[in-house]
Amino acid sequence: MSTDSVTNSKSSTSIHSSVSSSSSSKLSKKSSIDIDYWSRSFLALVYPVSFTVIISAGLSIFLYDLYKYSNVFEDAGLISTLKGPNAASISKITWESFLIALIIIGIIALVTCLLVIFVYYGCMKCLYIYLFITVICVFSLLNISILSMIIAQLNCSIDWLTILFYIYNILSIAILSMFWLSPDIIKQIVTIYQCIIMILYVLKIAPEWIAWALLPLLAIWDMIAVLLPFGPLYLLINLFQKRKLQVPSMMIYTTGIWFKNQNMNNLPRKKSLISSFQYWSSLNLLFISPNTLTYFYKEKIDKNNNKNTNASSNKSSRKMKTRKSMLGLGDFIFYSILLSKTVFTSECNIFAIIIVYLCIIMGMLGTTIVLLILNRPLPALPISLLIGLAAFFHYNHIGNQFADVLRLPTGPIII
Amino acid sequence: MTIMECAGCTLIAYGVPFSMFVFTIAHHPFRIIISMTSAFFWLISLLVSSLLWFAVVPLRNQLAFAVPFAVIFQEIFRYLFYRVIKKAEFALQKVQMQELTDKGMVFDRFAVAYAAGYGFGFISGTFAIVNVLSDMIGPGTIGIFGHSQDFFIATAFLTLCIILLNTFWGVIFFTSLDKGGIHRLIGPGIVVLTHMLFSCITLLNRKSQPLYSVSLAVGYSLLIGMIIYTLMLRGFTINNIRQRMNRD
Repeated sequence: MSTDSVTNSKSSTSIHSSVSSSSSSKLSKKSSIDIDYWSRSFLALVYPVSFTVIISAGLSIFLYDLYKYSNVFEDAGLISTLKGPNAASISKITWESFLIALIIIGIIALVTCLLVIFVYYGCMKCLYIYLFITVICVFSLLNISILSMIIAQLNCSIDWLTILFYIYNILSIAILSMFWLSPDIIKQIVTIYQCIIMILYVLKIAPEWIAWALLPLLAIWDMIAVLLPFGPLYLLINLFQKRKLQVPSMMIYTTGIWFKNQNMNNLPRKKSLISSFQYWSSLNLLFISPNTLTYFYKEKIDKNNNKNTNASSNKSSRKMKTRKSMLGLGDFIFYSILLSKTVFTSECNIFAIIIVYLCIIMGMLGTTIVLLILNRPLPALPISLLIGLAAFFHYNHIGNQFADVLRLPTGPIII
Repeated sequence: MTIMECAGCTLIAYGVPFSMFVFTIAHHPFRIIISMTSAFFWLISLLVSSLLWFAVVPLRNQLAFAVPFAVIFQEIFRYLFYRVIKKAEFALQKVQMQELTDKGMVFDRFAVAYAAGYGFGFISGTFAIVNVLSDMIGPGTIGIFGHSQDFFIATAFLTLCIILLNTFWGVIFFTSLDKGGIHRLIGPGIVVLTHMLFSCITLLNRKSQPLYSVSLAVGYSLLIGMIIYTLMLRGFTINNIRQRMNRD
């Protein structure tokens, strides 16, 4: 069965990587917290997140005009509009947005529980089949939806044969890289592409208020699901740990980053390899893409690894090891949604974008610090989202006026 | 033509800091994290000072009230960041520092002070210029309603000045506090005074026909003063420099 071989190959790659990591790192002795080790591990997570987030913010600025006028929910009558003849008050719209966001979170919770049940009864095949269908849908239908927006904005004419060719090739690459073998760089690119498709699609169907209502509720849901003992994500993580199942490349990616020791050796291969990236994509349900597994998790370094390091210390290539940490793909998606919503709500105010980006990174830093102290799986969303939301709303209403008063109408006043 | 102007002002304001980043900070992940954290602290100080400005409704147009408080809040948050760094270093002292020294990865206080000052300066300069740049790239230019036409280029040079000033202020602040004794009062005092001087001089830009040369001249002379003071703090004297130059 292809899924079994995939599982075996993935487990073999991860075992291989952990063994080689332990054998070649002379530098880590008894598990002490190095500054550089810790900083590199943290930055290994920051770079993919930054990349995804910046690309999605750039695309949001590019597609700004198209998004301003999307009102799927308003047309369907599910939510009142702020403008027009039947304009409703802000409190009514906020209330309706919260209700719709609650419904969305309910769907996410339901799917998570289904996922836990699947894994508990050991029917990984169902999971894989579902994920397979999901990937096909995302990379064909949602891809075309996003492409049509980009082509419309570029105002260029492309024939349907080219689109068909493109979609077919992307789809086959995606399926190959996710369910079979592929180089790591292709896996990363495919995963980021998938994230961007889902982000742009969610932004398209969720108008302004719903996305803003969804984010704090998601932060709360994340805390409930991962921290409480009956939370579905907590159970899921424990199941995976207990059974030592290979986490399929669907919800989480693990970063085992290898850096060359640049100070000491001049080896020909200087670039940093990112090995054992296992990606997890989000579950797609009815073309809404919720994420259920959003957490940080640091793999514990075994005592065995440390013994091996002391034994084989004569390696010529000194590689510095970083901790393997896993970050759910849904985190990428919701950080990017936060940033894209700030693009739309602040009307392309670049300083607001930079502020929210900084808050996201600081939230990740805070979560990592708490992770180092507590050493258990943690939700990655709450701190970043809450800090980002607070900073953005403060800046949008108050800080922006301060900034304008300092600059307009005359002379910059530098504080 | 607007793209040219925007590119020019961007490079004026960010050219030197970007080079500083590439050569000194980019290859050290710890310094990147320190810079980002100090940028976040500056951000919080901005939010607090804008809240203060917003809260005092009648004085909203009298910026002479808001600006000194903004400076004071920035320096308070710089001091808070110093305390946070000290606590983190204390926590890291508990683990095996000898091992780190063998590997050459020491907790370099000077590098941390430099990275902290750089982070502060970078976000402060970004606050001053990035929205101006994004407006500049659109059609039209400034000066149509009788305002000064040098607004963009003055902003760019003032931004460069504040970024570099903040870097040196960070170094002075942290190393003075580390040295102890009389330096604990002189260093931060000089930083606060010069920051206040610079910001209040830029208040003069608020006239309808501002004379940018005043703020630019004051800013850059303050920068040279800060460089000299930093070198003094780090132990370079005139004889020292002369010896080095004669040796080479």
